[in-house]
Parts: sequence; structure tokens; C-alpha cells
Amino acid sequence: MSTIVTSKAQCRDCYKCIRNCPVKAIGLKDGQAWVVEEKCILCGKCIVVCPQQAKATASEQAVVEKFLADGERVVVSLAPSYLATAFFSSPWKLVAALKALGVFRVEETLLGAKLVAAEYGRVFREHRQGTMITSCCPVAVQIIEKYYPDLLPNLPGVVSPMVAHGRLIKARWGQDTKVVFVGPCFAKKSERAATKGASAIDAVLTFEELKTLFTAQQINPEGLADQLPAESVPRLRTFPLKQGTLKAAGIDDHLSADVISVCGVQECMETFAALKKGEIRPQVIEALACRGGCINGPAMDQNLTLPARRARLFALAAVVTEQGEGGKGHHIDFIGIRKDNSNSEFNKREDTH
Amino acid sequence: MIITVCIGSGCHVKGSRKIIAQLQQLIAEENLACDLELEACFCQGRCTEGVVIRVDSEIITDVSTENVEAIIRSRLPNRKKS
Repeated sequence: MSTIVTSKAQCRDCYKCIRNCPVKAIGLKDGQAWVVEEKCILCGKCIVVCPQQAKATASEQAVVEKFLADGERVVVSLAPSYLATAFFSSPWKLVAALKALGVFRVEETLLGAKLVAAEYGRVFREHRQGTMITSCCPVAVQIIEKYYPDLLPNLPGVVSPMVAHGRLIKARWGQDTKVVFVGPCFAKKSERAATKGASAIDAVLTFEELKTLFTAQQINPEGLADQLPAESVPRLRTFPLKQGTLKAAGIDDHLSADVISVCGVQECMETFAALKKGEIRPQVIEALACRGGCINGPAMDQNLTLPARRARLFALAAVVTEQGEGGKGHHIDFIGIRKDNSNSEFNKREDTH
Repeated sequence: MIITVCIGSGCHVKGSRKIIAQLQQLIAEENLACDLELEACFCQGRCTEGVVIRVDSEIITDVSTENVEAIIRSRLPNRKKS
């Protein structure tokens, strides 16, 4: 699992990270604060609050640079939060810069989200008993794995949109395609490392790492002409918001006991505890670790406030992407989105993919 | 909202492709890409009632280029024109 490490040189023993860790996963080693891997849920709060920027995850910039230098076919899976970033004057500069790097194709991760959300919708409609906890957020899954393992059967047993998209890309463009996910989340790095066998995702970069990569490769996104991703699902562009997963799954959130949407690590833990105790019995819980959804992820830029980011997403969401550039690759009827080794209570079907 | 238009032989002959083109134009002109997703499907088994479309889970028959726009507009979520 990818850990959050402390830079001994930068750390000034202020203990701000220890005070802000929602699961008390930071301990002391030689007087400096170190993350305890077994307890850490990778929410990234410590990385964000450290005034010395002494905390980080291992950078995967070199991994991606090597793919490009080796002439590998690289397809980028771009997290939908990119529409809410303000690193550059527009997200189309970010896409243009990716193409300038030599990336073969840029697709929005929503292609994977579409498959996963369809499955959530099916479970919601067909399994009237039992509570389903959505599993798109790797931090929410970590919270359950480490602190509420009794609730593991409540996860629907499908991979995340990122992994589903990775599998789709490799099926369409070749198994030796290198898939690089770019998003606002540190926890996605550990999700990648956890998949067994042939990995669907070859590298995970945060938006910040990507910005550093552009600079290192001497690419100035502002000087490039706008480019759009090759493929997306505009209807699902609200996915990275609170209630976005529910909407994508066709689940109406009209204020009822059956549907719960919860954001924030403490809020998720509070809800999971209540579920475990039997205090609540909803049909579905949308669980997101970041207040407001993924557009408020720890690796998003802070140039805009959260409300401004949300508005920006809506403003840009209707832009239709291009479908050109080599068409759609190999035709695929379906791809397997089941999670290996899942004891989900919702997996009891004969026709598993 | 997912609009699925049947492109099986019966509906094809009754102009389903023209309906698809019309909807694509509507989506482009009115910036509806976030609300409407357009897909195609094969024969739904209602060939005498062509053209057949589905809006989410609702099946609508006897669709034509004349009435499709009204059918879709009546089902669009209310939006403030921006």
C-alpha cells in the first residue's frame, strides 16, 4: 500500500497533522510525526494541513516520464474533477498539454463511472433488502476495511470507475497500453497498488504532480490551443459532486430514509457506526470522504473556493467532446467490473461477468 | 436522461436515423449534453408501432420527426435558461 511519508528535514514537530488526523493514524518517531500505515485511510488531510509541506506520497512523475520516453502507448483517464480545477485558464489547456506530452489519447474516467453506476442502479432496484454502500471513494473503502470490516458485505463487489475505465481502455486499445489516471485524490494510488494480477492502471498522478510534470517537460499549457478529450459522458459530469453517484445510478435522492448521502471522513464513520449498530437501515449510502465531493479532494488546487469550483463544473459540463482520433478501438460488448475476492452480499447472481 | 432509439429494420425503414440526427442537433443547439445521452438499440419487438424509443425505462411508440422534439421536451428536467 502506498503510504504518506514525512520529510525529516521539513518536519518541525508542530504536531498539526496529529491533531487533524480524523482516525488518529499519526504517531511519534524520534519526536517527529509519522503515519502509521495500518491505521491510515489516505484521506490526505495531513498532507494538506502541514505548514511545512513535509508530508507527501511517493511521486509517480518519473514512472510516467519513462512510459513516454520509451514510446509506450499512453492513454490518460482523466477524473471528472478536472472541469473544476483552476490550475490553468481552462481545463482544455490541461488536455492540450497532455497531448503535447505525447499521450496517445485522453478519455474522461466517466466512461468507467457509467458502467459502475449502472451496476449500483441494478443493485438498488433488485435488492430491496440490505444496505449498499457505494464504493467509488477509495478512502471510504479503506475506512470500512480498517475500522468497520463487518460492513464489507455491504459493498457491491464492483471495482471503482477508475479501474473499470482502465480495463475498458486495455480491452479497446490493447493490453500493453499504459493507463495513467489523473485526479484530485492521493488514495487512488493505493487503490491501484491493491489490484492483483495484470493491473488495469499503470500510474496515478494527482493534478499537482501533473502540473510539475508539465514544467519538467517544458510544456506551457497556456501557450497551447484548446483541446478536448477524445471521449466522455457529459450526462455524468456531475459525478464528482455530493449526490453525483446517486444521480448517475438513477437513484432519486428525494429526502427519504432509504437514501443517504454523506461526505467527510467523520460523517462517514458516524454513519457506518450507526449502520453497524442497526440504528439506521437505508437502502443505499453514498459515502464520500471529501466534503462536497471529489471536487474538494486533497490534491485539487485552492485557487477557487469549493462553491466556485462547483459552479465552474456546471458551467463547463455541457461541452461535448470529440469522438474522432481513431474511432473507438476494438469493439467491446462488455467488460468485467466485478471485484476479485469480494464477499459482497449483492453478488449472489448466476450470470456474473 | 438516456434516450435510446431503435435502429432495427422496422424502425430504420420508418426513419429512426433521421430522428437520431434531429436529436443530435437539438442537443448541440441547446447545450443539453449534460441532461441527455443518446444511444441506439436493436429491435424492441414493436415493429408495427415504429419508431420506438425509450426514455430511461419508459417505452414510447409511434415516434416521428414531427413529434419527437415535443416528446423529449416534456420529459426534460426543469432548467433555468442560462
